Amino acid sequence: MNDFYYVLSRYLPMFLEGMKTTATVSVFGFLLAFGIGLAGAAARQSNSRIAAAIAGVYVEVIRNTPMLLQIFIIYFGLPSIGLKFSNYQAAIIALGISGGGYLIEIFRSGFAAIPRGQREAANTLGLSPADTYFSVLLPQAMRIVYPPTVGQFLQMVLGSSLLSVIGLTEITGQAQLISEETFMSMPTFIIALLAYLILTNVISLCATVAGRFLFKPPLHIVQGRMNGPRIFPRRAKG
Amino acid sequence: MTRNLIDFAKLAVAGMALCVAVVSSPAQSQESSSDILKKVLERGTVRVGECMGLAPFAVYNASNEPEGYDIDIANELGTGLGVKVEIVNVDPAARIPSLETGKVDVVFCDTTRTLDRLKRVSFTDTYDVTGTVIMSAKDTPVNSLAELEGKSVAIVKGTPYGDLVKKAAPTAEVISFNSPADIVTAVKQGQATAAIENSAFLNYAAKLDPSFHVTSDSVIELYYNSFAIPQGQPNWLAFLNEFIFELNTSGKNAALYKKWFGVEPPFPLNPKF
Repeated sequence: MNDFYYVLSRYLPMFLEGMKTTATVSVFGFLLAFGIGLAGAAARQSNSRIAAAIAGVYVEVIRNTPMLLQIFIIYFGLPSIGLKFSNYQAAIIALGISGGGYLIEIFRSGFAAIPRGQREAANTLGLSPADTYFSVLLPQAMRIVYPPTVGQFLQMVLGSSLLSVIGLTEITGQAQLISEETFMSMPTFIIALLAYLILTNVISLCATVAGRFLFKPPLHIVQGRMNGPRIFPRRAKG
Repeated sequence: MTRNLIDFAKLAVAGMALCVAVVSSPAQSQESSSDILKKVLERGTVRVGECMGLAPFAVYNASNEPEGYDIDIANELGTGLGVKVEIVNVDPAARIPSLETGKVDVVFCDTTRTLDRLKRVSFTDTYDVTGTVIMSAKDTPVNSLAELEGKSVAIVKGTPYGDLVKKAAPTAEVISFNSPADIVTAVKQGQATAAIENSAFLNYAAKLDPSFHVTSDSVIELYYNSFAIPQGQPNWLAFLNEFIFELNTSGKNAALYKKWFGVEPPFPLNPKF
């Protein structure tokens, strides 16, 4: 237990720095993934067969290859064709590209869940395709995909631990450095674990609260014990 | 909302309880209370921790068999003990945890003795002496530690080179990688201007790829490398020291060095102060 306090008291700034890095690359990676997800989902559903095929291949390649190798290729491989990124940039790109593959499928399922009648009604009312997308389909799809999207974001926060292999000093990277300096690996990695736990729970909580204000009627997410986030119907007051 | 908070609190309490249980468990003292030498002889196998990928100390050959300078010495040790040798691949950074948790009986990995490390593990006598060199691309050569100022330097996690670079060149950016092969790739692909590691490894890498430039041996003081074992193992330590003594006096060590590095050992095993 003494080791635990020793590591915590002496290396707290390093852990906080690591949490900051983890949070930063996760947020920027997620923004990139979100853009890729929206564009990809639109492409998969578009009338253009080429666009749909490209998005389909992207999803299959990204979801069926290990993220660790994707990170290696982006950081160590791409300089061979003149694309050189710092480890920070490579981290964000790797998280974005990988998360994007999953978000495309999440968004596609969200759009697919909207009844056909909605699109037909919009057509009948004479809405342009852009208006149909942004005013009718997107708001409804966002409501459906919100919980799995938050889940994907949390997966990206945890997945960012892989980025320590390209020398990024996020939580796991810092923990490795600290455990080498002190040789107190057990307390160090437990503190790192708690750092992730704090980060993900704060995000979950914020997402739950945000869900109430972002959507009308308010979205109630209950963290299921087995099945991940779920939408629960609002309970009747009584 | 309240339910959420209660759930979270429960989770947090459970997490803390787990931590306390794990950290205060006496697993370490149980492990070191039994004699490793006796256990190895009873088991009929010695588990040697090797950092696979540190060419030419320990690598996998084309048929996926471990080979190298360290591996040959591990096999000599097996012969000396009269037991089979099991090579366990460990990350450089996982060397000391592997010993503490009893995953291996001894770690080779060309491990440098330092006072800090001696607080957690025991070291045998020296079996290998290495200098330290800096490797860079031929187009942008680096010739001394001071020249690293303002440049990016790749090191392997768990090595003492990070502190060293920061002392000699405070504005240098140190990037820590998990494996020795990664620092070579980092320089090759321009992700780092230079890499710093032991001379045997980097000279070997530069021999394979002539686009690298390596400084003369050695840019800092010499490192005296030993086997690392868990603390509190007098019999095991005595056995390994005698093994290294005979390895050196019989000339076998020098012969193996010549076989793998192509040159006679450049530095004497006993330091001149």
